Amino acid sequence: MMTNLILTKTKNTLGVNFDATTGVLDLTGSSYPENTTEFFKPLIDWIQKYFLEITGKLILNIKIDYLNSSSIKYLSDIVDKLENYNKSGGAVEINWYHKEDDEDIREMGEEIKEDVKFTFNIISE
Amino acid sequence: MMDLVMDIRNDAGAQTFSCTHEGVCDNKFLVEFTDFLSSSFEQVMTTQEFKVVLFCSNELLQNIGFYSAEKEYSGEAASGKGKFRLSGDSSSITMTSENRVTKEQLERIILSLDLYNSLGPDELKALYKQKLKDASPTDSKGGGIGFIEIIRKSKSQIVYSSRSDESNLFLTLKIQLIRTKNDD
Repeated sequence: MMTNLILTKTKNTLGVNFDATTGVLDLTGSSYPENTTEFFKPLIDWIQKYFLEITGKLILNIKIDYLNSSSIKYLSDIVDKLENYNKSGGAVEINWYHKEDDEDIREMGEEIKEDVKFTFNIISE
Repeated sequence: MMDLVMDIRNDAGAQTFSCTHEGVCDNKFLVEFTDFLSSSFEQVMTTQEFKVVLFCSNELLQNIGFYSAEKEYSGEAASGKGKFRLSGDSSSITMTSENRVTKEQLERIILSLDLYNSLGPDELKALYKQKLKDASPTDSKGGGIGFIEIIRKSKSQIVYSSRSDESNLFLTLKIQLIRTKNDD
């Protein structure tokens, strides 16, 4: 039985709510942790385990305020894993939320969208 | 607690602002700086400028914290020390960092910056995407995209200079964000 992954948002780390039952994954907030690898590795491990054990549809909701460069790198790694899952037949969807006046986050989403084949919705709030 | 203060002046109707930090740039300071900038930026810059300034400033501060050759030790943890200054007027916003570096670090950073500064927007975007796909360099905390993203977001080159005293080498990095009237 795969457990959910829930991490409370802090000032410099993302809120995480990965639900193994529904396949809905939420990332919210800002990310500039002291040790980016330490923060993101459990997230990536969880997603890989989900692909192996659940093999269901995965929906990733991303509501980000700010990412430092190392967090961008890890988020890109997560998107790559989703793209590979999609290529192997898995269903994937990303909902990328940005504040109406936040061009920076919108553009970041648009650039990621350019490189994926699965459904990638950019949503202004 | 750090002594972060936004010094805002109005001389003959022209606003200038600045804040400086000298010392350890650990994650605790980064959180304080982010809080400080988030709560004070509206007095001196637009939301769009704030997003760029926050990104560039935090990258500079993290570079000091991770790579400065001058460290402060707390138990087994070591944090880099250096100087940082954010300032601005009606025409531009400038972020400057200075920290001690080794000769090898200086040579490597200059090599990277000379390359990145020579590239146009499309080339930078292509390099950025390539580096996102690559494995992170073993000596990098940011996957090697920090400087590239600073140039892309600020739309300006990273100006560097170095100086030395009797025994130390110092690297200064400067990022200047040109303000447009439309941002006001």
